[in-house]
Order: sequence, then C-alpha cells, then structure tokens
Amino acid sequence: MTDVQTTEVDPPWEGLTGADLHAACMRAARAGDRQAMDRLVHELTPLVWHVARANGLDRLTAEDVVQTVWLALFSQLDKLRDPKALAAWLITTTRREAQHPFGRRAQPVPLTDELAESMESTHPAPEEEAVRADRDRRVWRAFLRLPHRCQQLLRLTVLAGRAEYQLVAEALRMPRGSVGPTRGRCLESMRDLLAQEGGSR
Amino acid sequence: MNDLGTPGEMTSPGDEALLADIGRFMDELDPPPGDLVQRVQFALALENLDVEVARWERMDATAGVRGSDTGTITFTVSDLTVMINLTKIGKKHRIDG
Repeated sequence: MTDVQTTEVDPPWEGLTGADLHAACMRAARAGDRQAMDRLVHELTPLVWHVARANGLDRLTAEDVVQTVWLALFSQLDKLRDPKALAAWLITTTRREAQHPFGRRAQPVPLTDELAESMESTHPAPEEEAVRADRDRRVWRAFLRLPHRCQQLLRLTVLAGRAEYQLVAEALRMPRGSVGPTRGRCLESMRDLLAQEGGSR
Repeated sequence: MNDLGTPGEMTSPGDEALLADIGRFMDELDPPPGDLVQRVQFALALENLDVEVARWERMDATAGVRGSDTGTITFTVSDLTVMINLTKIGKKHRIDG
C-alpha cells in the first residue's frame, strides 16, 4: 500500500521568494521533505540550465549536467552550511561540471547553429510579424556567429542582469578584470555581423 | 540597397537592445526541455530510495548478530518497522520475521 496522500497544509515556504524561499526549502528538504526538494528543482532548474548552456554545453550534455548537479546537491544537503547561498552553489557547481562533465567529453561542444533551424518553425509569420521575425533571425544568426567565448559571456551577462537572479549576479559574472571591455568588443562584433546579415538577404 | 524600413535601427542596435534580444532568444529558443524538471525530480526520488535501502544495510551491519545463537534485528524505514529473528541451527541460520 502506498501513501499518496500527504498533508494539505500550506508548506512553510509558501509566499516566500528568492533566497528566503530557497532557505526555507533547504531546511525542509534536510528534514526529508520531498516536496521541498521538488520545489527547489522546479524553481532553480532554469538557472542551472542556462548556466550550463552559457558554459558552452550542447543541449544533451546540459541535461546531464543539470541532473548531476541536483544529485550532487542532494547527496550533500547537510554540508551546505548557508542555505541562502544555494543559488551561488548551484552556479559554481554547474560551471565546474561543465568544464569536465564526467570526463567523458573531450572538450566542450561549442554552441552551433543547432538552434537556428528552430527559428523558422517556431515563428510562423502572420503579416506584420514577418518583419520582426526576419529581424530576429538575423540577430540570432549574428549571435551564433560570434566566437563561443563571446556567446558565453553575453549569455551570462543576460542572466546576471535578470531581476530574479540579482542576488547571485556576483556568482554569475565572469572573472573580474577584462569583462567590461571584452563584453563591449563582443557586442561590437555582433553589430558588425548584424550589418553583414542585413545586407546579405 | 534594400527596402528595409529602418536600416539604422536594424544594423546598429544599442548594447541594451542586443542583450534584451539575446535574453529573449535564450527563453524562446533555448529553454530547458519541458520534462527536465520532472526527470530531475524522478532521479532524486530514486536516489532517495537508495538512501533508505542503505539505511537498512547500515543497520544490518552495525546491529549484526552477536556471538549468541539467536538475535533480533530491527529494520526501520520511514514509518515501517520490520523485526526479524535469527536462530542458529548448526551451520545455518533460521530467519523468522
């Protein structure tokens, strides 16, 4: 016999957001609350995913890494001293995993045009959207032609700028120093590529 | 020459505009697979099972059967308790539970 029914009382993390939510779920998860763990996974998988992708992993490998990172968290739930630092821990662990995931990939698979195809199919273009879709296609293609390091830096920049990740912006940033100028150069080359795209079709 | 409406805006958008575009593409074109969350949750549930089984084995090892001919071992996993009796008969053990 299985006990499907669990208590219907609002969980203690109800209504919380951000780091407070993470901390409350971590505490409950440590006490063995599976719902709490599920909630964390639901809440933070997009972050782990985008960090994995921003570190140059293809989609399949990124999926593996996301799973690995969560299992790693689960296996050392008690060791993570500061539950509020969870998101930062996830980011750091994801990046480490992305650099040598299980040692079974020789080197990071670069982001390629794999997604360029999906642009056509996911954007059926009714009249006035056609122009926008066309512009999007060009911008996306320009992005994909950037050096991989640029793509990664720009993805991370976007993530760090998101309101919901404000607290972990520090952990998301590339090593200090050359970031600003490098980012500027990346955006500049993207504009150049875009200009070429604009004239080509 | 082509007849794009606003070539200037098209070819040299500002930094913020480009980053906003990239952010949109990340969500629209490169979201996590729809079932990834469920798969992770399932993997964690399985892992959880392993932990429970491991707890059994650990208790087995530490509780052990002491030198005497009979012993009782109690296994506990979540709200289920199993008690078994071991009785030594010659070279074998009889197990009642």
